[in-house]
Amino acid sequence: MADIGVDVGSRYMKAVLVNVGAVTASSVVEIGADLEEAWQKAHASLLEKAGISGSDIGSVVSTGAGKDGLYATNHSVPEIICAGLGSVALKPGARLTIDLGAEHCRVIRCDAHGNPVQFAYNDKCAAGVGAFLDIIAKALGISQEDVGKIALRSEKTAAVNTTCAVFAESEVISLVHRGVPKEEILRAVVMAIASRTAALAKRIGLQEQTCLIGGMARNEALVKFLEQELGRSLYVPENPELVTAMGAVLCLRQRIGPAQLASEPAN
Amino acid sequence: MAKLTAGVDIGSTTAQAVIMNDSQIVAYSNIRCSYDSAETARKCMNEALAQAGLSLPDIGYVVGTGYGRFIVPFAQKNISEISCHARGAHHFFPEVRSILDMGGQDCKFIRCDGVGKVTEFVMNEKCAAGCGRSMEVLADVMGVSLADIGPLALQAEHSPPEVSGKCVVFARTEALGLLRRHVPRNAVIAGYVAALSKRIANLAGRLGVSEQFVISGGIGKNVGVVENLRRLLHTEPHIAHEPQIVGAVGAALFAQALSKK
Repeated sequence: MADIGVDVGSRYMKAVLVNVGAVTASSVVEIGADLEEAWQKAHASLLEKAGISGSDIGSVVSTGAGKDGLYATNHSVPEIICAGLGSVALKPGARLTIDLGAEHCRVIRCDAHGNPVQFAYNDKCAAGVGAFLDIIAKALGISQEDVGKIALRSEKTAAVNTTCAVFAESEVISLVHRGVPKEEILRAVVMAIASRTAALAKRIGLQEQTCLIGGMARNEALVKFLEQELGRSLYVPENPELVTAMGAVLCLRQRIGPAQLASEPAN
Repeated sequence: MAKLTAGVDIGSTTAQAVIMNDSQIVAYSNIRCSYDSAETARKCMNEALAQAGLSLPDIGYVVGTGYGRFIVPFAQKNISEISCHARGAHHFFPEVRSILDMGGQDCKFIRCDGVGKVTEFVMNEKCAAGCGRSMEVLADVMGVSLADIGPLALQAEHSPPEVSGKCVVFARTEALGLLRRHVPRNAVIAGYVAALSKRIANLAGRLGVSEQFVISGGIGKNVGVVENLRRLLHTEPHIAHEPQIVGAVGAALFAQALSKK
């Protein structure tokens, strides 16, 4: 029997199909206005890639901000648990997971089994998460895939308002008009996100082995600046945006409920 | 001989120019800003001049103010927007003692004395969620015009949902989520209008709202916010016929005083 883990994020649905011990198919779908439509797409894609039919699916376990909105789900698990489990499964020595997505930054300290011990998150201000970069990249006419590469091109950082993503967006047009190079603007934004992420991680307490997951981990500039801020290298899995979805399936298979937290979450 | 003066208020999102003859408003303009602030200043001044059938040499003294006040190229002096809003509000409502001014990218709550002089103020210019910009984004997500936000909020037949009231960027996602869950559009709009109003009331509460309370800036045109504030602050706000020119009026009045020296 195969199980599906689906991480329903603020913008993207990340789904993995796990057959026996391995992820045999994955799908990332932009959610848009219709959650069920996104699920239909992801589900169909998984079955096709794995070469199986719907009746071969055992359970659908969901996580992420929108986990309870999915009709097809059999179980839902908090993302803090899934992120920790997923990270430790991929890197057994990892004790800190930084999960940076479109609309959240989560930092989780976990034990050797991946159970969360302490966590902190920002899901209130866009200036510290992927959405900020999305907005600015769009304003500069640069595609998501190219952002990291371009942000690394310059050694100089533009003076941009990085306190508010919305205000920064208005500023960008006038900066470009004044001849400020796009790479300097992007560098400033990525550095601001890295800096805020690092600050959140330091509140939890840095660990020797730290995993970086979430869609933002694909941004080579973000990884580099974050490593500089934290003073250590980070383990970035091959498919960082899928780790939480994978953790959801692991959770299901371990048949554990929400773990007891050793301490209060540091928000 | 009465002198013609002008006040030019260059904001983050809109700009206004007001021409005054003594304390009479002769003409005014209200335009969207472009990325070039000097160009915006010239454009709004020219529009006001055209309306009055005047040209720049006819204006005895110009005072610039607002977010971009430092680059009003033809101004003789620049005065802070806080002072200009207090002075302008006082012109329209001499009994005013507190003013809420909200533009595109900031929100200020100002207390003043009997002659329109600022005594204290608080402002938010760090987060778009407490500024007019949040209403523009809401209008965009809901597929309605900015001018419709207020009326639609008041037309909501169902209780507005609780919304986070934080981060305009996340509100976009949150609003779409609410629509997906079949919360009626007007109720969603009412929810965000209520959330913004609460933030404003909190800001105002830091200094205390006086009986004579003025709302200036574009937010004065949002009947939804005005109605919410009326209820939250237990006071009837005074709003000028064109709330967006209050800063420029104050600037033009300062110009009157300066030109007499």
